[in-house]
Parts: sequence; structure tokens; C-alpha cells
Amino acid sequence: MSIALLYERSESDENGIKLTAQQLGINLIYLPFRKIALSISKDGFSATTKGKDYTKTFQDVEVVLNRAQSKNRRLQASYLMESLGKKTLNTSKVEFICYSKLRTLLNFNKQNIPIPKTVFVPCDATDIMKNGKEINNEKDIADLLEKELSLKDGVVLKADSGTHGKMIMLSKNREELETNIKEIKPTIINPIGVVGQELIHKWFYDLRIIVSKEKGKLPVCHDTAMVRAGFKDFRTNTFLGNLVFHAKLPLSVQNLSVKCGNILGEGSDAWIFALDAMVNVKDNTNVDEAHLKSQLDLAAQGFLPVQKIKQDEKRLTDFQMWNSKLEEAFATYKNSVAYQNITNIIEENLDDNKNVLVFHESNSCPEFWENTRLATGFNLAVPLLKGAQSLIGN
Amino acid sequence: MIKQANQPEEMNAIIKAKCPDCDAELDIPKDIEKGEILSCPSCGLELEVKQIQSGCVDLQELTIEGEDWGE
Repeated sequence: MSIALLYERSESDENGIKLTAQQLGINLIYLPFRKIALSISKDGFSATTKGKDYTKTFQDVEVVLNRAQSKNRRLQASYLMESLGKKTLNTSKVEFICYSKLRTLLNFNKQNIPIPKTVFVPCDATDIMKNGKEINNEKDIADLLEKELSLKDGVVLKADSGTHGKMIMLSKNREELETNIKEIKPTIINPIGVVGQELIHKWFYDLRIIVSKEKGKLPVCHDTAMVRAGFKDFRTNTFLGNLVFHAKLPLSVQNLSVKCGNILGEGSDAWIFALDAMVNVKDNTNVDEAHLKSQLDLAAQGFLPVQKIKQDEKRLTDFQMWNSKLEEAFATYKNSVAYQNITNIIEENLDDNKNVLVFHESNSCPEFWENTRLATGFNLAVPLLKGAQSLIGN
Repeated sequence: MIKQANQPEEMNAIIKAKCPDCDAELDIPKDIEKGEILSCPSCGLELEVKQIQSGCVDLQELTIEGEDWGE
């Protein structure tokens, strides 16, 4: 009986997990979750690709590390694996909650975790009648959102299952709000309705906090978070050109993060999450913005070599060599004066504003190899693999 | 896609290559061209022919990102 890595494609994270497993002496079995026929019938289960029968491989697996990159496929994979009697990390219950920002927030709110005020309107912007005509609902939806959220302060519309900042739109007046609502169509990242949220005035950064639990042990929060920072966009996703830093977390934030993990992981023996949190800084800043922007510009220059290596396709052909280069470039970036200055600003500001932090999302299959690991010095593959190990034989 | 073996003698010639992900041995038709997309029969990964040199084929997995991919 063994641990399997279920995945769709081997990107940096999956290669990083494989490399870490080697270093830890953990033997991983690979389960491709792509062009494979997963068949169920009265004769049992089979799993075959065009050229290989994986049925026995599936049967021999005890624990599945679910790293399907697609949220929808990951949800399906976890349920499927559990129905075959496998233990999963994360479980299908966890995947079901984390799939949806709204479901995550509902769970947080129930247990008094601070969240941004969030409004869900189940109606879609456009309905198609049987005769083919359209009913436009954007004005009604805008009215409902405006009753609950202040447009003057900013209303953020979010795709409920969106990733990488996709379909996140800021509205500051009625016209923008209606236009943005019209943009929201039922899709794979927002199956139904409209999710609106108050704009958190987070200054220039937000946090990604890692919490995990192994079976039989207490949950832990890693004491250093990854910080995404910049003024490029109100969304701080690194995919939108923002930079990454790290910040030591105040103990109260670590404790709150563990509570979030316990809420989401309730009923699961082992779990791992990357929690996204924002700090409602408003005007409680600690440095002059012109100075901050000059430091960010300097840091951005230092980050260019890192970005260049990230884009190098050698990551697909010679992962270990590419990874060494990436680690070296990131270490140089991290040792720069601008990086250290910005980290100090963030840590000081976070400490000043730790009581106005809100949690807004939880990621059950976070990317970590290229940013989180290098910024925080914490390899998420380790708790992932140890969490899986802890489930064996129990 | 990988061409089938029931072709004229010359076309039937194959080059052996390995899937960069699952290490499965692949039979690739000799008339493959740079840029063609193959699918590994073992793991289903889509692979691009990056280079053909002296009977060796350099395969690289395609970078694909779905709408609901990544976190």
C-alpha cells in the first residue's frame, strides 16, 4: 500500500513534490488524471489509458495526494478516489468547500473568523427565455448589491471559483457596477449567480498563509507568510505582475489561521491549506508612498532575473538544473536592500494592523514551488507528503 | 497524434523516444515533423516535437492552462 500523486500535468509544483519525496525517501506512485478511462460497472473498477492498464496501480494505492490542477477535476478526483476506498489529501469535503469562495466564507463566518462583507445574488445577469429572448437582470442585481455594499468605498465582483484573479472586477459607481455584472456569465469558474464583496483597503499587499495538519498531531501554521505586493492592480495576484516578499506573522494571526484550518478541515484527519488574507489598512500606513513606490521599483528590477528563469522551458526538460538556477536567482533577489526594506515595512504595518485582518479565500491545492517556497523558505511539499504518510495504515 | 504502423515500408520506420513525464517508451514515425503534437499513450500527456536530429526526437510537454486551473 502506498502514496500516489494524482495529477494532470507535471508542472513545477508536481516536479517539486517528486523531488522532495525522493529527498525524504518516500516512494510515490504517479496517477495520471487526464486521458484515462475510469470505468465503473457491476464487474468493478478499471482505469486504462490508450497504452497502459492502471487498474492494479489504483488498487494498490492507499493514500492519494490530489494535485489535479483543475478545480473541477480535483473535486471529481477526490470523490472518485474516496468512493474507491482511498484516503485523500485533501478530502472531497474540503475540496467542496474550497472550490467556492462563498462556501469558504460561509464556514468562516459561522465561526466568527473575520471576512470581508460578502453578498451573493443567485440570479445570473442574463436569462434566456424559451422563445430565445433575453431577460437582463443587471439592474436588479446592482440594486440588491447596492443595498448591502457601499459603491463609494468600492464593490468587488468575484467569480466564485475563479483563480489567478480572473473575473475579479472593481466598481466604484453605478455604471461600472452594471457593466461589470453584465460581464458575469455562467462559466466553469462561476457556475451561478453573482458574488459581490466590500473592497478591502489593503494598501499594497496581501498574505498567503500556510496551515496544515497531520493525522494524530496538532494543526500548525507556518510562522512566515508569502506576501504579494505592488500597486499594479487592486488585485495583488503575482500573475498580474505583482512581486513576492515574506512576512513573519504575529502570533494572533497564526492562531486565527489555525482556527481557519480547523474549520475547513473539520472531520478530516489530515489537511493542508493556503489561506488568503487581506489587511484593512486604510490610512494606517507607516511610510511615505513615494518612498515605498521607489523601493518597489528597485525590487521589481531585482525580480526580473527570477521571472526570466521561471519562463525558461528548461523547467520541463531539466527540472533540477532549472530549480538550482531559480533558487540562486531568488536568493539574490531576497538579499537585495529593496526586498529587505519592503519586508520590514510590511512586517511593521502588519503588526500595527493585525486586528483588522480578514480571510477571503482558501486554496486546497496551492501553487508553491516558485513563489511561496522561495519567499518563505518553507517547502509545502514536506507537510503535504508527511500528511499523506500520516494517513497510511490508520 | 502518433501515426499507426500499417503504412508503407518506408513510412513504417520508427524512432524510439521516451515520454519526459512518465518515461514510457514511445514509437514515433520517422516522418514526424518539428512542431507536431503527440499524445503519450501511457499517461495521456500532450507532447510537442521540439527537435529532430540524427534520428533522435526531442519531446517537450505542452504547457496548457485551463480556465479553472491553479491557485
